[in-house]
Amino acid sequence: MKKYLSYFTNGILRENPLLMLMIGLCSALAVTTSLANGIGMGIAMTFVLLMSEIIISAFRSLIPQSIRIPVFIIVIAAFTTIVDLVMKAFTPELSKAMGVFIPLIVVNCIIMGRVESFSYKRTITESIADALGMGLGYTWVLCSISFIRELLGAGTILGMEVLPESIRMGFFAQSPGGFFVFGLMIAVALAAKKALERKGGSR
Amino acid sequence: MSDLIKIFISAVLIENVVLIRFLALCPFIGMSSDVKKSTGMSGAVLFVTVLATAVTWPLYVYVLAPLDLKFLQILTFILVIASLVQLVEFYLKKTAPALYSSMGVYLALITTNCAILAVTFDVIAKGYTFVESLVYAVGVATGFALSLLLLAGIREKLKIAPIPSFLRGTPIMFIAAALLSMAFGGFAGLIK
Amino acid sequence: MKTMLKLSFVMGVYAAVACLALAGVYLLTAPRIAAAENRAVNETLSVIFPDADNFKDVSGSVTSPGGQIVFDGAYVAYTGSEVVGMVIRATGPTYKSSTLLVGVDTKRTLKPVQFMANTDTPGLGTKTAEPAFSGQFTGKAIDDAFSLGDDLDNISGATISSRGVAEIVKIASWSAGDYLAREHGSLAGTGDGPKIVELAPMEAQKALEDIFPGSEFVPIENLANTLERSIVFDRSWLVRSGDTVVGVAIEARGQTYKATTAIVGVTPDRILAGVRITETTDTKNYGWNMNDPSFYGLFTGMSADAPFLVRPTSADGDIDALSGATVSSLGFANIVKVASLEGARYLADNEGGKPAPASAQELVLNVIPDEQ
Repeated sequence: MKKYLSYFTNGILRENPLLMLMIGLCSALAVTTSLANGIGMGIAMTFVLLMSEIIISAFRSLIPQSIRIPVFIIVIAAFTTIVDLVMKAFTPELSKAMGVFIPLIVVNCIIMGRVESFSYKRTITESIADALGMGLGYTWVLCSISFIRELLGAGTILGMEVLPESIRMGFFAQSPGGFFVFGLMIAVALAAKKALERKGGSR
Repeated sequence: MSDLIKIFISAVLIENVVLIRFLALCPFIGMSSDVKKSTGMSGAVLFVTVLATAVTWPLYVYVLAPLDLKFLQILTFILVIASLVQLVEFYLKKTAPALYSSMGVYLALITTNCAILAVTFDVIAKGYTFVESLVYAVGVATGFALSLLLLAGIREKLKIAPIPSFLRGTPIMFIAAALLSMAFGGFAGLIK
Repeated sequence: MKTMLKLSFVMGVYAAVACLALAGVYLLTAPRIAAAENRAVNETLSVIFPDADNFKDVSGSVTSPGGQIVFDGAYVAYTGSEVVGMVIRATGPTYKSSTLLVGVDTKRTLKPVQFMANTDTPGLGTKTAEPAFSGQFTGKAIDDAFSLGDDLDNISGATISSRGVAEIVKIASWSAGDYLAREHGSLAGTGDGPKIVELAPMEAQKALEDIFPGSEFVPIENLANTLERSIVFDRSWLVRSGDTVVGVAIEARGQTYKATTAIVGVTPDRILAGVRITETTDTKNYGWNMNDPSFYGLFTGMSADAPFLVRPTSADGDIDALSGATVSSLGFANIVKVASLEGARYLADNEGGKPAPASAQELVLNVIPDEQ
């Protein structure tokens, strides 16, 4: 049980895909203009990651080594398409707001990376733990960035007006703001990591 | 002709794929440390992007759309790109093994380059003709190369700059990218 | 080889399973997706017909009128099973381009016009979307003239936008009214509806016959242009009707916004028989509008010795510049002036035409400003 917990928490902080491993960045910056988008993208990505890891892990003995990459692509692409169709059907406004970034989940390095380096070699339950951890790690970073960008850029939280117009800074809602906020978040995360290492000794 | 020029300039500057649209960030961060690696990567991306567009556009327009198979777009497009990258790898291994080994794993990672898949989707969504799509593809790849080279240049300077310790490394790179992005934002009114 | 086949087979199986799964999900979600799209369209249409509860897409049955106006959608509005009207989504040239939703009821009256897109100049052309202008169309009869200054007011400083929007509304509403009359027995209009005139230059021969109907044209070799080097005479003809010389026609080319070629016809009385444009590279919607008969027709009957100066550039000029195409107008007036003077001179020297007035002053041409 402890093993699964370890795999789960791994993705949240220690090996956080965005802040530590620095993969899957494109969607993280592009869709984080509003908290709703951040949550939506996090859930969509986690779903594709989870299902892909489960399937790949379940069939790992039936996937020949030499063609594993194309097979991974097929599986990931299939689940991405499912997410795309479901979102178009049940959350059309969110789907339109995220645009091409839903299909781009298929090339999200996090999914490809975890499937190749983890679930291809591990059991289904281990893969589930990893997927949920990574997904949560991805989602919380996404939500933090989008919370800051929406609050400072548009003055709203989930669409509700919070800050008066005079304090809003369009900078955060646009591209430069995304890079800026993310850069600062990495700085904070690295500093936190260093502090933890100094406190707990090397892991 | 002027439409094609507008599409090109728009793709390179106004809607720069990396600095404005946040695509292709992994190679942007990962490969810009070296001007030589940047040029190699840019060349490969240009080649794959144009080729991928040239294959996926007719695939969608003449096969997927008429046969009501649009839901297979994601699957088929990414498989086309993956196969093209495989072919490029194969070709490079045979004809330019030095370049092949210097690019290492990043060559295979071109498959997961968001920008390439985004281009193939964009040209369908924007309803471009075949020629317009190719021009757009070249424009996006050029914009990618431009931003990559710009950041590579900045990174050389960053190496010897006095940067506060908590910003050193990746954070300052992102802030540099933020400034570059602001600069490119200035192109917004370039084309009416 | 065998492994390759085996691998390809395995790949194929995975791909096939994936495709089948996707097909399944697609079939399940397709109706919902279509419904969601429908709802979005219906929301915009409901703004025009708030009482309608149902819209039927008939976009396939309504053809665009041609020219630069395109119908990108057509919907019949129903309350229950009763037809209450129709909406056509039309895109057409204004200063740049505008997309409008034009709705009509069954009595050939317009519903409020909705703007979907307008790429005109912010603050000027975009004012056409404001109620002060667009409100004029609500309740208007389809068969009205839609003429700016008569039954419609235009926006000062945005004449081209105003004219463009009025034209789109006029044509779209007529088509909608016509469709309702044909398909649903609504009130029918009289007549054929507005004609879309696609402005275009004329072929040289047609231009000649238009200016001098029923005449013969004998090419002249030696009609020289001694007045202005920047205007070139490509061809010239002596125009005869039977044995009488009725005039001279000159094909002259000169600078306008870009370049324009026109055929200028002069009579021996030093009167302009007419001007027709045979070629121009000026911009669509601006200088291109010189092809409108209401513009070049202004020159017919003018004296070859008239100043041909363009207002408002020349405060006391005798010709009004074409709206939004001042440079084109300046250049065009010059071409007409030089050609008519030379034509009249030729007729005076060779065919007994009226000579130039004794008080002929120095040639004053409109000054075409440098490229900005």
